[in-house]
Amino acid sequence: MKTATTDSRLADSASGRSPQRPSRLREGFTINPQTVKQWRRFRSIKRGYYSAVALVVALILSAGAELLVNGRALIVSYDGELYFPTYGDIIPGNTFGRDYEYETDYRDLKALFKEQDRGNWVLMPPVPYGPLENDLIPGYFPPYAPSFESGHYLGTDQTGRDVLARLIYGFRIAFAFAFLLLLCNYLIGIAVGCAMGFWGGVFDLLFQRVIEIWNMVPSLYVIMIVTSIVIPNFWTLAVVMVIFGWTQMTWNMRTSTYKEKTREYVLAARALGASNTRQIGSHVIPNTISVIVSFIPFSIAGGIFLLTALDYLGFGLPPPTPSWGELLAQGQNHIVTAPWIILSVGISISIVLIMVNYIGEAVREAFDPKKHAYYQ
Amino acid sequence: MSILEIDELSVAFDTEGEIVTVVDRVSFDLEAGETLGVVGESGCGKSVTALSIMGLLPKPAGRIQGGDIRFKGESLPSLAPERMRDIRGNRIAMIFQEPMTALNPVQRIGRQLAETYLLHQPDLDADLIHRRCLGLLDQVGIPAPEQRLTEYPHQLSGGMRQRVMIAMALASKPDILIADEPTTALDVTIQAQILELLRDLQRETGMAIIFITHDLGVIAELCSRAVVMYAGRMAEQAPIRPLFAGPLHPYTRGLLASIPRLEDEPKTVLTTIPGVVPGIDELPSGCRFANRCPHVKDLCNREAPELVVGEPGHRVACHRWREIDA
Repeated sequence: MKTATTDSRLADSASGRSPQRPSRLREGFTINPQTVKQWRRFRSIKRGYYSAVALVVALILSAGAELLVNGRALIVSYDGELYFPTYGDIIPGNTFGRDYEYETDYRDLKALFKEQDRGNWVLMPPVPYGPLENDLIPGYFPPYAPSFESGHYLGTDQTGRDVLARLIYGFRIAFAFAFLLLLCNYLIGIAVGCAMGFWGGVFDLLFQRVIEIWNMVPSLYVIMIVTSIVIPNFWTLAVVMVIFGWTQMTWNMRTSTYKEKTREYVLAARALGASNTRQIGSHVIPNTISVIVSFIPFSIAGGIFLLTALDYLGFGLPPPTPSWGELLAQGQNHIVTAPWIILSVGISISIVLIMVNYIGEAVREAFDPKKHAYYQ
Repeated sequence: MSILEIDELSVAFDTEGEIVTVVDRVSFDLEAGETLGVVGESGCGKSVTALSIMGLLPKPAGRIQGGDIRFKGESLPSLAPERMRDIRGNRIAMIFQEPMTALNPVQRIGRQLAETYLLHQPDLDADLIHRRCLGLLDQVGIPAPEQRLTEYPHQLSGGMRQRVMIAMALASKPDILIADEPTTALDVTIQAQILELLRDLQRETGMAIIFITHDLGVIAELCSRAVVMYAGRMAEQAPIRPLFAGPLHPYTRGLLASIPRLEDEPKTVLTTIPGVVPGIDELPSGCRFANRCPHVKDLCNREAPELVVGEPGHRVACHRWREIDA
């Protein structure tokens, strides 16, 4: 409620109907009233707004996933000393009086300390399993069904790894990947598209044909071929995808630039002696920002989808990287014996992609020039 | 001393393989500190002449076909692009017809005003730029300049925006200001204010103004000399008084006769020049005004008239000006 009143005051003072009345937000910095309008329209589209809030919260939480979903303990109190094993090097078992030198098994340690009852304790994260840990029960073959007792809230996959942990870490990787893809694709696409639109002529013609030919290359097959020759990691996979992905944005930027560069304010900037790069940088691109922004959510969704598809086919990030596509493939293999795998990953993918698309829809609506008084 | 000399300037546009000359051998000089009017109907080449002075002809269609433009003795069309950028906005500034579209909608006024300084005087510090911008807005008569600097173009009225445009053009104290119909889009009261402002600014700064308009009233009010253009050619060039008192070219006469006067009989039909301007692709080889001229003779259709000195300082392009002078 409080923010709503601030907003309306902002819009009032900024609409400038009465120039005599001094704006209440004069000091320093005011927000463009257009931006305020767009933000308010975005907020008024409920499902988009709430999807954005939920997704931002999820992203912030997943950024600290090590604190929430981890096989390492949050805090270990041993002989009056506190240990924080979450980040940093592994702490070997003999530190806590165990007889091995590999990394401490904190779940085991927790049970032991409880048994010994000597004032030592272990605080585990809410989900006490890492995405790469195989938690096997002797005598039984995984996948294990969901169980609150063991802490596998969504069960395990076929090698005994916690499904929830892999979902959450996979979510983080997928988004990081999609954002990286977005950044690189847009940087290249916007630069090339702007150049095509601004200079036009032979340069434009040449690049149009190059891009058309480039688009005819079946990118998915090429990515598969490349990844079956070299084992990809996060970065190489991103590079291969950017090589084929940058063309998308060029068309939109090309048309927008063609439109903007003939506007009189660009001519006016030239009459002031602005160089080409300056005209593009401070006049053309800022005026096409609504086009760019409206495409971002859909590009994110596309990036996630692409990575998941490649992982599903086995040409994506190498095992044992937690990934939704790989879970999907497993879930399909165990659809009868372990339906919890396919259910959890299927529902997660659907919800995330639907939310991203809701956001995209709301952003597009908020930036819709039909609703604004634009100059002809 | 002439600060700007335009010498036989011809500009052609390449439209789908066909080359059309839209400005044909136009010549005039601009003295430092004077106001020169360029008058003519739409499409007569006024704006194209202005844009070629600025080196801003629409590319790749438009190009200078012949002639020269000299600014302080330096030929502008042959300048390197970097050098031309130094002159643009710095020594020669331009204001446009549509204040609604000539300001960038996503930049604050302050940012746009500062652009000239950022481009041409990069070592000025932010405080000084801010103070100068305030001074500029004050100079062009904008109230509450401090607040205006933080506003966006859509928050200002048309007259205010044109004032901002003028302030931008004045920022670097140019030698020449080219005003391309700066008052056409404004209503009459605002128009009078803007003209008044331009006149005052000229007195203060001593810059020369090329004022492009189709409004003879504005010319009479503001300019000391005027060039009349018709269909891409010059028809007449003269100081204001002789031009209005004794126009030599039939076109100028027609224009002046078309202005309704207070002493006219009420409810009489307005005088007009019959016919229309020939299309740009069907220009006659002779005098371009021949199809509308009441004094047309065979010679007019055969041969294009040269610009000749009629009276001292008064030049006209007509075969028959001497005979029809009455």
